[in-house]
Amino acid sequence: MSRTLYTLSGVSRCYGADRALDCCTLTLYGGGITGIAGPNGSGKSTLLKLLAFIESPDEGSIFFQGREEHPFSSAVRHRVTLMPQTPFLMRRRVFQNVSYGLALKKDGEAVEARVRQSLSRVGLDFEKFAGRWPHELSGGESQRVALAARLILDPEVLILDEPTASVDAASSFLIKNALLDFAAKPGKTVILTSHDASWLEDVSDTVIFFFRGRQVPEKTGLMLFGPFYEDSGSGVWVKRGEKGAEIPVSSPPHAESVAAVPERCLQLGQGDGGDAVWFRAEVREVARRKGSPHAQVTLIGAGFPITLSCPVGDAPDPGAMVDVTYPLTDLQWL
Amino acid sequence: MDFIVDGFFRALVLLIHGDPQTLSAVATTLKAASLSIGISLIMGVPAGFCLGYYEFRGKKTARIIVDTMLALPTVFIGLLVYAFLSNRGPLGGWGLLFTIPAISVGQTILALPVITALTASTLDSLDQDLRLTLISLGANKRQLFFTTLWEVRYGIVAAAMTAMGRVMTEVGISMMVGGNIKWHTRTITTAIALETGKGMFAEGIALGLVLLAIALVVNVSVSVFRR
Amino acid sequence: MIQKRFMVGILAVLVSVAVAGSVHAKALMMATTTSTDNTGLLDYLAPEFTKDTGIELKWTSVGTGKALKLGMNCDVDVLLVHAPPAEKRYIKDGYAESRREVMFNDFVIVGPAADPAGVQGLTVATALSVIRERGKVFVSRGDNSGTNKKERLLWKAAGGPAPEKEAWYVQTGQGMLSTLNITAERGGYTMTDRGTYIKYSHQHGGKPPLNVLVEGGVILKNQYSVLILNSTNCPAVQKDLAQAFSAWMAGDKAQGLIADFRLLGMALFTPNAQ
Repeated sequence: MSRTLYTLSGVSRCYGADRALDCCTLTLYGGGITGIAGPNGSGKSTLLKLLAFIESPDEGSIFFQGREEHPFSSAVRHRVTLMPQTPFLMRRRVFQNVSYGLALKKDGEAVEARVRQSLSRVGLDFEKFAGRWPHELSGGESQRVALAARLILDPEVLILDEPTASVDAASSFLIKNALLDFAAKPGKTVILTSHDASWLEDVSDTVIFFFRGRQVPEKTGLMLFGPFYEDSGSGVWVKRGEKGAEIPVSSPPHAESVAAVPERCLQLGQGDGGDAVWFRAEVREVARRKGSPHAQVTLIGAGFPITLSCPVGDAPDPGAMVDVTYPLTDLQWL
Repeated sequence: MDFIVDGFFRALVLLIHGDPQTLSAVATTLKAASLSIGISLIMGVPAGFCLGYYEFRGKKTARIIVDTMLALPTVFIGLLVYAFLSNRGPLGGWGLLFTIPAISVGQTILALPVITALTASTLDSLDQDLRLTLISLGANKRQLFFTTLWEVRYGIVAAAMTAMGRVMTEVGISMMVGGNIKWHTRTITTAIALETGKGMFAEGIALGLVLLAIALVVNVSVSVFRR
Repeated sequence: MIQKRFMVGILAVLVSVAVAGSVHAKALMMATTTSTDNTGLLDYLAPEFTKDTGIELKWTSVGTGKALKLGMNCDVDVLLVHAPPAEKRYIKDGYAESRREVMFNDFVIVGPAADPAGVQGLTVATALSVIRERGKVFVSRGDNSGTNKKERLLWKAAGGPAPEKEAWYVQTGQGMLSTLNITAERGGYTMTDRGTYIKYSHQHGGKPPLNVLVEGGVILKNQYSVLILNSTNCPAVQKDLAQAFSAWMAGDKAQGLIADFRLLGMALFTPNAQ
């Protein structure tokens, strides 16, 4: 189960001046479903492209099953496959889109039966859909056809970027089931990202957190980008937000440093520890999940998004103004 | 203005009776145009592919040059090709002057920038996810190239049609390097120029309508192919 | 795959077109003036020439100036032109080695029937100076053709330089028939060879909007000659074919054909080979 699948050592990838992956070192294990969580722009999509060997890193190496591999390498070409965030279908019928990967491999064996099977795995009826053109599909159907085109290849590693970002609830459900079925087979690994943290935690066996192009040890609940200001009177450092609201921080190492507070350190109310600081925030959303004693709370404080979790009984109502507190010593400078 | 109506009826007569001079001009026009469009496709599609698909140093400059070439006047191309193909010119030994291939050389210079620029902009506007999808489905570099080309086939056909329109309607090159030789290098457009020069306006209009009819047939067959 | 069949199809079309385009026969390439082509004379003579000699005659009809230039660059095998002074200079400069006069017609000055400048019946020199004085529209070929060369010569003979930028002097840069049409549209005068004028009258059913107003005199003679290019200058030209054409044009049969070439009962050219 926990055989090492990928090892990344010092991997960087830049797009122009933008460093999407920054000297990233991480290990991913084979088997089951690994979720990658992180805010937008944290480098998740880039990481997936590198893991799928679509792009090469600018620096560093990627080892797959102990061997360093590169795009177009025959060792990975038919074993790892990626489904991008927006499903891309070629201007061909659904049948040709699903069987395209087989044609590339010059694998002509029982193609129709395999297309039929792959479509049924994502809940699409062969008779109804095989002859359709991409423009005759809804967003969710397109996404499922794209998934069927990957499943037919029977890859060892299936990588998905936001597979349910823009689909209806029914498609989302069908995609999730298809993934769980796939991952349950021996020797299969699924790696995926999602904007929906609770959905991700729900489907994944392991979740790793990503921030600013690197793996971070735990989930970030509050993130603040420089510049920061030192209050001349009190000597306290703050981040100034909307309408003069401020969030207190510790003394930054550089003007452009980024402050991150793990989600588990954020709490409602005014803290009582010696180093506790607090600020006002408005509750935007409270999410509860079956079987979980905790509610997921999303807030906006001084214009910045904050997430934290609290016992179901203590959850505030959306729209309420509350205090959020955290121990200053738990703030990490990145 | 009688000659406009006259021209219309003359066009019908020319087409229905299969007037040999008209048919010869049609054949010459089509031969020269298909040869030049073919060569332009072979050269222009890969060039446009590189220009639209890949990022490289000097790409912007290359695009500006290609876009500028779109404005090349046909008589100037004609003059240039004449200078090269004339027996006094560097390629005079090829004996191409006053032949259909000579016209095609000039028309290739005319069509190449059109096909290159339009192919490049088609590939430019191509969804970045195509490349990603093809590689992730296991395409090697050759398969990637051909599938991408196949995905933009309608764009390339449109580019070829645009170039075809430009090539079939030009008169400067055909006149200059073709010489408007009856039964040999007289194209529809040089024939129109000749008839107009002779004051035979109705004949000129008839030939113009014939050219339009060819364009219609070509476009209809392309739209059938697209379906 | 479909892609492959598509590409192979394109290639096949190309190869067949290239092969079809490069078929060569025994053919003589001639540069000539617009008048011999526009009048239909060459369409009438060429099949006879081919029948008698087995040589195909191809021609490109341009102004005499450009025809001489094409010969200078060895792009054609033979010339049929009508600008004797320029031709003689051409031979002296070593571009052509022989010149054979084959036919002539004459130049005339034509204008609207109303004749606003009142030049009818005058001599050429007087007529042109009257047009210049009164500033009536005169349309010129302006293309350095044989006709244009002659016209400029006549302006000089009429006293004073040839007009250039004068408001009443219109240079078309086009062939003779075009220029006649423009002249009619502008209600002006122009100088034309008689052959083209007869063709023009024929196109208007014998009732052209322009009439011959000035004619006659040795100075208006329009001599056509066949020029064989100098093989020292142009070693690659088909001199034997050119000589065959020159001899055929001067022969009894062609001379008779030229004399018989008529429109509206009028001869367009008079054969005069010696």
